[in-house]
Amino acid sequence: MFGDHAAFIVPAYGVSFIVILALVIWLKLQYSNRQRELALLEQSGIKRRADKPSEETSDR
Amino acid sequence: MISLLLRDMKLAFRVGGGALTGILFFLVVVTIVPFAVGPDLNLLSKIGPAILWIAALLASLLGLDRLFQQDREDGSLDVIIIQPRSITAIVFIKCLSHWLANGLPLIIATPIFGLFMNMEPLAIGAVLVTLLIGTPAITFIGAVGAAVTVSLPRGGLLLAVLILPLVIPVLIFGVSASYGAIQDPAPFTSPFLILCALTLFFSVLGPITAGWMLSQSTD
Amino acid sequence: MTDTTTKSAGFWAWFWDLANPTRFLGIANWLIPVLATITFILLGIGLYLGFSAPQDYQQGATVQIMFIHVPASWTAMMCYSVMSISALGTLVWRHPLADVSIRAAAPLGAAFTFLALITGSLWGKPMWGTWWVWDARLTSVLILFIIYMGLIALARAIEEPTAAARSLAIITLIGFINIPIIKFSVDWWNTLHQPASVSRLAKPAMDAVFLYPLLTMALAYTTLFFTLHLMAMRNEIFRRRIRSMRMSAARKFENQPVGKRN
Repeated sequence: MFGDHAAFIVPAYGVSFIVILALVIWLKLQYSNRQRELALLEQSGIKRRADKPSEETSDR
Repeated sequence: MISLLLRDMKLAFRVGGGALTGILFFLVVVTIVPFAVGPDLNLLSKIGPAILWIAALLASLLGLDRLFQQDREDGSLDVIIIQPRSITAIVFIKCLSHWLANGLPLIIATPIFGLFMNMEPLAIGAVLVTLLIGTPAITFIGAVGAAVTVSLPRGGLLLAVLILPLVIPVLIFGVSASYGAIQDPAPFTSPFLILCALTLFFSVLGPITAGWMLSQSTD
Repeated sequence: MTDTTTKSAGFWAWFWDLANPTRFLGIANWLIPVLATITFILLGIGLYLGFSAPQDYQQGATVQIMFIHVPASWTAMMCYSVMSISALGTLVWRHPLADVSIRAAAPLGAAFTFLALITGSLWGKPMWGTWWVWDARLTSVLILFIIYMGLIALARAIEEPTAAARSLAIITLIGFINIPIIKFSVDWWNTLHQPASVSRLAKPAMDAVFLYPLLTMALAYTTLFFTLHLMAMRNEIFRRRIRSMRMSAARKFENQPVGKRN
């Protein structure tokens, strides 16, 4: 369909697809990794300052 | 202000010869060019202005991390920052003294290196003038990078990477003006005037931004 | 800062409501799938329109590459505008999420700039015969790529969050101010050194049959960027939460008497 220019068009679309896909995968993986870490931290009892309104004194 | 200027210059020439290292680097870059492109004198004189400008640019960039670092290391940066005088003026003076101590020696050394590149006197003169006008621009806009990277280890490398895109216009117009002075069809006045405008613009933008950056950091 | 206080009434109220990371996360969680769906649809339409376009009489079939090269470079530039507005948010309005926005956007901008360079090169080879040509547009994109990489390096170099935010914002804005100057100087440099044989990538009056796919793809890339940007901002917010949770846990641990530490 593209004749001899296919050798350029296909890699161009290919690279674009790969890079965009890599971005999406990277962001999704990052998201699930961090969700997992947050769950682990919350499980072991560490609370975020925003979750404990009044009793916790600032230990800074 | 004058006392700050004189103090910085004395420091620059006493401490570790930062200015001399700059000239040495300049020499090194000019020396290795013929090893790479061959000793053909015609070719060297053709690319001479460009090579001199590149070497001066790199030498200036590498010396920029000294702009604030020494003062930070001995704590006098904090003292300078809380001065009642405008921080912009202080940074301007520091840039000026830095250029006098680092940039000006490069310019003085240029004719010799121009001879290495087999350049005509007119070409050497053109490069001299454009470097004279252009290298302060590098210092002024480099001050912003120096203020941002002052507390970082290996900050000098990051500074060069950050500032290099910003000084590309200075390089373009500096080299164009140099070639414009020696080649007939090429214009000289417009690139030269644009170069002057760039230096003036950076002399305002740089110290204001760098001064603000320094006054904000409580490092 | 409770939810009921707003910095100013009316129009800007939503702007400051969004400053609350939790509220932002809530919005992001439904907005991201919506934008992603729109992106998919637009990409589908754009690709279909693009592949059904006839061959350009000048460029032949390689006009296909234009449909992914031009949107990529437009997105790269738009990303920098987003970063610059966010930089103003950090410095002028001290919006809490502005720094998150800059950090999230920088790698995306670098990626789109990279795509613009590669597709530009692949477009140029059949047209001009070389893999790279120092024409004004490609050179400017290359310089933009370097600027992005420098910003990413800077973001990783500074530990302390407020100093990092300030530095990042300042350098972004300085870059923004200088980009027109760089563009002007590169254009000038290019016209000065223009060899007569290189045919400039002139902007032909574009036929509608090429304009529609181009605009659709450009829109698709834009929604794609904002989808990715929201995703990245969400991740960055989580990263900061993890960091502060870890730090408060370490503080608690240190504050306990030695015997009670487990």
